Amino acid sequence: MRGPDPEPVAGPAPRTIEGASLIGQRISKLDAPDKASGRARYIHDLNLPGQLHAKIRRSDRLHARIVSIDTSRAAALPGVHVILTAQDIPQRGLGVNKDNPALKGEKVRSLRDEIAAVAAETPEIAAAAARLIEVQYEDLPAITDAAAARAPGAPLLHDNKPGNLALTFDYEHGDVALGERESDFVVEDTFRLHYVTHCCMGVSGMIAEFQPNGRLLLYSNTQVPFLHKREFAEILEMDPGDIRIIQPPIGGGFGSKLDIYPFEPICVFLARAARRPVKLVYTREEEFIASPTRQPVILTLRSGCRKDGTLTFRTCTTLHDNGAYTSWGATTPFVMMQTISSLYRLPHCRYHTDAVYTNNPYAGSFRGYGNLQATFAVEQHMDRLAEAAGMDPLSFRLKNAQDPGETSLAGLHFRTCGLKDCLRTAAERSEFPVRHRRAAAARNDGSRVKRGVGMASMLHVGGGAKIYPSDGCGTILKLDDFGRVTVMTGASEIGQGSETVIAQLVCEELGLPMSAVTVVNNDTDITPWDVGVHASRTTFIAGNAAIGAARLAREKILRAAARLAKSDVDSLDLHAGNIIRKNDGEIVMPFAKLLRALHFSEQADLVMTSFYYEPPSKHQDKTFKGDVSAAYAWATQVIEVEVDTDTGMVRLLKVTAAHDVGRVLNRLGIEGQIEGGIVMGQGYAVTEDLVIENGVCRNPAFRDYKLVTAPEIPEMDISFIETMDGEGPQGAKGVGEAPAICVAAAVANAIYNATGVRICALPYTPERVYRALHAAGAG
Amino acid sequence: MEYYSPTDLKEAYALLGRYGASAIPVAGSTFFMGHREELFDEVEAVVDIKRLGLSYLRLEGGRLKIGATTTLAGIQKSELTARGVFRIFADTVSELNIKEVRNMATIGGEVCIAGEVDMPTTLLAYDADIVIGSSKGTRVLSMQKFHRGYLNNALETGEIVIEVQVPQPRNGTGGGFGKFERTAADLPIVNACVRMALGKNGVADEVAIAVGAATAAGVPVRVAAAEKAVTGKKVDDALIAEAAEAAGAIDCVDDFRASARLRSRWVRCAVEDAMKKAVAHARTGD
Repeated sequence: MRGPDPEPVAGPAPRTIEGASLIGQRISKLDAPDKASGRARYIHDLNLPGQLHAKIRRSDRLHARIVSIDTSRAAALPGVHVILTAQDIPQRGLGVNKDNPALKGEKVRSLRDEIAAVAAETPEIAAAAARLIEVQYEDLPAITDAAAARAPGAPLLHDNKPGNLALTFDYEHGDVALGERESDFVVEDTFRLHYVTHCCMGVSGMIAEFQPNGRLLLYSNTQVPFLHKREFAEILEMDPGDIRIIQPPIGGGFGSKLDIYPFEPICVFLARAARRPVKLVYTREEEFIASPTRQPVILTLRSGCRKDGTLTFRTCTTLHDNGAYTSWGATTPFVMMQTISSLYRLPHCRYHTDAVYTNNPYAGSFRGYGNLQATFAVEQHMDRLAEAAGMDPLSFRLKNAQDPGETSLAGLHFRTCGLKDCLRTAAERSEFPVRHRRAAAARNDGSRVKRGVGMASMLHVGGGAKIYPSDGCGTILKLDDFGRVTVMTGASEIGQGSETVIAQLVCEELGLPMSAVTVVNNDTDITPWDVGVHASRTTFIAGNAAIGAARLAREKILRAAARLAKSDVDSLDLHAGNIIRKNDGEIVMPFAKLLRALHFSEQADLVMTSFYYEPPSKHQDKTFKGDVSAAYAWATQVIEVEVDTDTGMVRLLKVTAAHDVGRVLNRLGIEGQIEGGIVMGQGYAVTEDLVIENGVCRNPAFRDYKLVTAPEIPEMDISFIETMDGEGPQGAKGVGEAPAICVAAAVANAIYNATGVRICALPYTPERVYRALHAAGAG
Repeated sequence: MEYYSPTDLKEAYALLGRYGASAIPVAGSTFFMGHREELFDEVEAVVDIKRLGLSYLRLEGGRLKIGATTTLAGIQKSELTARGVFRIFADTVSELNIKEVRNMATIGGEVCIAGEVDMPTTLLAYDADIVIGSSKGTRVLSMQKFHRGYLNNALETGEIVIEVQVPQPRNGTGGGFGKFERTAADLPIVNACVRMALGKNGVADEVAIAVGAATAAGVPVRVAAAEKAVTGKKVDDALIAEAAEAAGAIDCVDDFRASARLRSRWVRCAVEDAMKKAVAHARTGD
């Protein structure tokens, strides 16, 4: 969708003045000065007068019937205002399956289960009171293994869920039996993907306040404020119109703040009962124990190809450990099946997922949304099939890669597609073919430290994802009589740089410097509707909405200017805060003067525009087919590793990444996104591991949950493939999730290239690598 | 919980005496702060001993004396550890990558923790003594005797470590430190320190090999078998490999951080690394 454009050619408006465009420039994030100087006021820094502090009492048992809860000792503690248990609030389930009541009354199903909650004068009193609550349990048999949960006679976690089945997904195109008959080579592996968690520097938290008029004001870190209003309203039995959500600066989301979790309604119920504002902020330990994880998956993939390297089929079965309740993790098959069905041209495909209840922690959405898991499997099979067919990994992938204009059999229409360019660019810049051959030849040379290179590609939505009734975003633009612009956007800023890109796109249309724009994006009473931050959609969707509103403003300003200057609309342009003549750049009048002339005249008019952008994507049909995104992002990463066969240590030396980003808008921002994503992918591949043993988290602290630190970060060579997407804002596609997706797969292939050993489970800790190498007799 | 910051030893001892077992002395607090608050329910008083004047390094009577609250960064930056036989103490600190911890953690704290830290491994290899003070006076225990087991030391209620003393090694002594961790910002999973005096023709006259963090004992140990394998012999790569192999045979702890099998392999690698550094250091003496 494109706003009125006075220029005779499609695409971004050409500028008369050289170098005037902001697109592709390196622009500092608008929130950087506040954050770098420590002035940003996160939810931790916010305190309301009369505010109480909340603490949740969680389960001590994995699976047990609650016999009794005694709150009398806690209630007697001076400074305690309110204690709530399940009997004090409506028993309404949260989450995808509505199976997760905010406070558990009858039984607990995992160690994160919320049993009671306290509001007290200080956080210390609340914590002490929560510990004083006495709970009597009657233990039930626990299940901490997903396969065991499906066994006949296994104890049920939820009475209404036979077989402990939370959700299933099936997808099919073509005829996999035929595909297998046509195959010359078939490979099959079972891949095991572990628990990791987001580790946002800003932990989960909320402040709830009921105002005298009965309205509820929430200060929240949510990524989806507009969806949350509706969900809160249902749980609280309120009118959604009576809920206002304000987001303080959010210290990272990565998907973790995409669902509604028990702590949020608990905080509100405490505020309602206490008649005081209540603040609930997790400790770091709670964040590890009680915020969501990435979905752990056991994935069996069977793939085939012909002698000439043409892919024939994929059959994929996954077992998702759903944990005790159902959040977004269980729905990651939506994304996983896109990679299984549509990453490379594939005639036959079948996909099946069982998500099963266990007494383990439950998973949520996490940057990539299942795609890291699916890509880990698919891209290792691309290497295995290439080897079987006697082809190098690059040629094999190029043979099966799609071209622009193709539609996959799952219905994804790739209007632009930079996959082949990504493959060639990453391979050329990393000298992949020669390094790959050399490393394979040196595998058995007796040296202790081996080197290898691995390649992996990825496909992800890059133009939103039509999951909800609308995938749109609204923008309101207000221009004041000094030529300053306020952009009110529904899109949340969670650190990804969206407000900077939105401001930049508006300035580009209006010929204004970045300093002329203020972005308001954190108050549901002011900003127009948006789905929320997910699916790498914000730059694409909110960017298009901002451009739409800016073009309406531009049109109105130029029409008024033409009238005042008695010239033709098409002869005028906006540049550097002025209305100029297009042919010679001569200033007709300053932008602000025109606005004042419009305002303080008989016309008495303001420039205030609004625009709602709805992408031209489609909902999937019941068989999970359909063109769900307005654009698709592609990438190839080549990773060089060093493997110390004596110690099991894997070191990433260099990542050569080529990303089809449509077009670079803010070069500084996109470099940050891609570098950060690669590091997150590196953590998933090598160091991060949330150790869950028999339902218990063993390492709920950074002391033993190992994030990648600066010395481990490899050299990066990042190329942008600019395919100029026709639907994207100035040609751009979404890129938020893409860089994290294929790192682990490329590392897997690199370890194989270095050692000849293929390891199908993550992470590649020294422990796992050492055992694999020494079991196989290598090194 | 009360916080005290006494300025002389007498005052500190009085506070420790008054609160008894419910007092906890702290200095850098890096270990203390890393714990769950519930573990401190029993703690009534935190006695900060940083202002007692116990931050110093001096060479006195043939011994290097390091005050208990000297920070690791202080040790690293001292002229006494810049070169020569005590350089190993700066080298040991350099293996800890986290600047914030180097700036806060103290040698007394590292000694008292009896857990996954680096300095006691070096102190054990260098036959250090721990000076303990209380209202009743002072007593001295060897590094070896000071540790009773994992997170367990020989301090009685009311006592604190006030100084660490290291006898000056003979000239020609080289030191080396080797270490394994999961990322640069981590607890050591394995560490090793080697002290070696090289005589004529490159023969190892005196060798001490200590291994820490990985041991089943939970505290650093000397590896007699590895020391014996090297002492009195001309040091070359083959001998170093033999000693490292012997060190790898010690009992290692098995937990979720690393298995005993992997730790044993890493002990071998860390000892090999430390020994090569010690030999190089002994040869240059720098």
